[in-house]
Amino acid sequence: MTLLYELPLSIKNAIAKIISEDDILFAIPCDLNINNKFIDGYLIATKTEILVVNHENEIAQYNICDYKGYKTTIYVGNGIFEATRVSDDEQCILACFTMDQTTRFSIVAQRIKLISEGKEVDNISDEIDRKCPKCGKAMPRGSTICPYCTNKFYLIGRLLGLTKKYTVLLMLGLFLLLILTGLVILMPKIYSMVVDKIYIPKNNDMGLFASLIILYAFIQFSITGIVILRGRLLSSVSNKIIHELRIEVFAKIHSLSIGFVNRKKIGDLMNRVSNDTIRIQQFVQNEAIECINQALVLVGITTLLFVMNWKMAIMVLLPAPICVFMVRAFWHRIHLIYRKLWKLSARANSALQDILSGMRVVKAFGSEKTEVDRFKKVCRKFADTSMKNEYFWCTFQPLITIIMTVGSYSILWYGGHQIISGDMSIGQVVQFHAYAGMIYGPLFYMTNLPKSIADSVAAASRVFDILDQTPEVSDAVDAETFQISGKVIYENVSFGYSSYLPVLENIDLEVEEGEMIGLVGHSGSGKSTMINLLMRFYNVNDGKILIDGTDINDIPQNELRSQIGVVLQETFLFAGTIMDNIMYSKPDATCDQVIKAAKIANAHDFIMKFPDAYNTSIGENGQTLSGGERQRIAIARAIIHNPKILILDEATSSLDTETELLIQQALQRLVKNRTTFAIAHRLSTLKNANRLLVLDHGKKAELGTHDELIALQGIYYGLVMAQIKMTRMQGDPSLSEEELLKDIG
Amino acid sequence: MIDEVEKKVSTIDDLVEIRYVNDDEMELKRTVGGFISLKLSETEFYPRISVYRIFPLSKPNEFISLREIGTNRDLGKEVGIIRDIKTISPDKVEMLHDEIDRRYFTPEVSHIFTLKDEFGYVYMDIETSAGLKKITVQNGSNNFMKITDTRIIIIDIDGNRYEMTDYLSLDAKSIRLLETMI
Repeated sequence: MTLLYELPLSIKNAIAKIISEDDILFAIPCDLNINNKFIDGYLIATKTEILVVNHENEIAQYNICDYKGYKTTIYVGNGIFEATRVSDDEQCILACFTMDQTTRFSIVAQRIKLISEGKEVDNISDEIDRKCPKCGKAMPRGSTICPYCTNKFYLIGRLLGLTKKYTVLLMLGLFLLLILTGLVILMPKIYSMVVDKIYIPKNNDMGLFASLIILYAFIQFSITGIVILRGRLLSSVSNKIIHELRIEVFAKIHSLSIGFVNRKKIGDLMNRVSNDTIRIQQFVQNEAIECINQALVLVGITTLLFVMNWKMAIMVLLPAPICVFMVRAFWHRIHLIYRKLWKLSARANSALQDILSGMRVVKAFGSEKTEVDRFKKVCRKFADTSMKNEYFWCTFQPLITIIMTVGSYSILWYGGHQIISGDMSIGQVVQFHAYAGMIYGPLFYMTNLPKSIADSVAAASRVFDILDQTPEVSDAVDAETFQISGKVIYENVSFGYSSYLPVLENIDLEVEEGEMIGLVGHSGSGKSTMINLLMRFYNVNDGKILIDGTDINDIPQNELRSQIGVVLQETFLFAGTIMDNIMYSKPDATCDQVIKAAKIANAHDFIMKFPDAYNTSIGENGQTLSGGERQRIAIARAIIHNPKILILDEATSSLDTETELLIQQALQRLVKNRTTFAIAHRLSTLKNANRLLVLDHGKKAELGTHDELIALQGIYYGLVMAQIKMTRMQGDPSLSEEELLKDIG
Repeated sequence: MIDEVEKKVSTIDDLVEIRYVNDDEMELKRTVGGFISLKLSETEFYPRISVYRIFPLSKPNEFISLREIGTNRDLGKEVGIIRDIKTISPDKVEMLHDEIDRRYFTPEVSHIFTLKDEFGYVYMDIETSAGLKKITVQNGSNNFMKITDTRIIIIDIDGNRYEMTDYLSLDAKSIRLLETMI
């Protein structure tokens, strides 16, 4: 993301007296004034000064040292850049901006704050810009390629490059197309011969008649044969190309970091793997070859028309573009109506789904009538629009036919004169008429071609966007196989998912081999982030994480993750059998190991209750199992490969007390002598932890044993006390504080 | 007997209280830095408050929540609620409106020059009460929000908002272009 814009000359001149251009560290658009009007202003900062320049070159100047606590406050639809004046502690608005500039302002505010604290900063940001820096238009979601500014020919070339491996087959397809085009053009010629040589002279030469009919039929059959052959050939090639591309895209997505995947949204990635590749397939199948065919037909027929009778050709061709234009205009209208209809239908469907899935609530509150009325209203609208659409369609279709036949009238009229004057035979006019009818297909195709190609190019750019990504978290070239013992050190680790919003700051932690560390803190304090960094889903921004003295960046990701077992709050199981799921982390596990893992996880007995036991199919995401059952399978899955480090991220928080007890027992067996990181809101879950690390807004707040932290009477103490109150409210109020404290500890 | 039992059942009014603030007890002042401060009593003074609408779309001038200053992540504590801004004296209303208008920046659209639907986005050139703007709206989501049959709010990909209080009062071209999206 650019933080140093090229300033307009007028602004450069305006600020020249105050600061030197070389000192400018940040220059970002400041697009709103205090009166809520859009302006073309800039916020410019050096290491000592901030200038806010508006479109009339009026300058507001602030000395960075005179203020502290620089920050942005985001409102609804806009935001302000503010700071506190050091001299009188007055909070002041320095600049306003629209949501277009939120990220940019937040980063700059953060950096100016660091400058005010005497720290060194740069103006480089790896934050992705959602808008093309060249044309300012939004780039397709998740893409870093602007469809407007990319060289389309380059992309078309690259698209065609995908077909390289199948050049011979595609050339064969093209050859078949050429024959097909020739035959299609030949058909009216034979027909004209039948008319001129047999029908008109009432010729009794049955030999000639039969041979013409046979030739006509032969051409027709050949056309059908070639269409089948060409269709099979092209679809086989396009399917092969797309199969390879899809696998390549999918494999690439897997090789990229979680950070990349998180930024893209699952729906986007699914679209790239499925829909965008389908669009490319359509390009190979329908456009790459077909456009050559259609162009040939268009040129061929136009030439033939002119050769046969140039005056009549002009009569046919002149109205053609008008017809095409009118039909397209109609299509636009139809498209809009259909779009409206589609939206209404979606609204009606979602209303229906809403009402049906909330039936119990509807009945419980006795609001059936209201819901029926609501649905009626939506349906009425849908029916009205649908009716309008049908009316339009009924009128539109015959009209289209009329427009398309405009050319025929001139042929009938002028062709008739030509026949009467003897300049053309009846057969020739019939042939001419047939060709004239054939010209519309390629014309419509050609007018649609730019859009189809643009769509394909856009799809291709999204797919290439993924293929061209370099993994952010990559293995070091000399990364070697590594056997983990279990000692983990966080050395001054800082990290933020967005570069301007730190989630963890300067974390130091040394975990001994076999030690269990409980991570405690409020939601959003950075507990899960610590785990994500250990798993190397993200690279740390600053500092390092060492396992047995080796930087985790030097350990191959596969090696690292295969020796870590993870149990999360939201267990995700794959469709398949219980056995498949337990074996997921160790595909070569023996049956014996599967049973043992299940037993350790307290899962064996409930699995045995199913008629198909370990072979029970659990459905998508284990929907046939209860939360506790899924959790225990996840535990079995996490431990079957005997991980050296175990991560329990809220592993038991969504379960009832009895199930939690079962899982707690399972976990107790597991954590013994195994380096374990456990996150839990319910502090009793951490009673086996050797030490507890309390995080507060991304910083290490407290570290020590339960007793030490209680004695400290800090954040942990506060959390424990809050839970004691909660337990009292839920359970036995007669229990004393000490008893409850003992229970948690 | 029944009456007595019924009396014992607490209503939500008994369980929770809303602190409504009225004009007399509220002393608002503009700060030098451009914000507003609030004094409710000698002991209750807030050097800077935030002003929120509780029903931003349906009752923009009623139920105004006054809160202590928070962060981008968390709201500040609620100090009180103004039930109806009409009951407040004009000088204070002006200050409140300045704050509200700053928080809820939603320019009114007066004309749509162009509207293009491409690559999953709707690109629009519009004229608004805050000036001219080129905006990009994600297609397919509920970003052309129909609040009533004629009131529409557009949310662009950055989160900016634009409103048409009555889109049918726009010129014919703008209506035609807009109707393709709603």
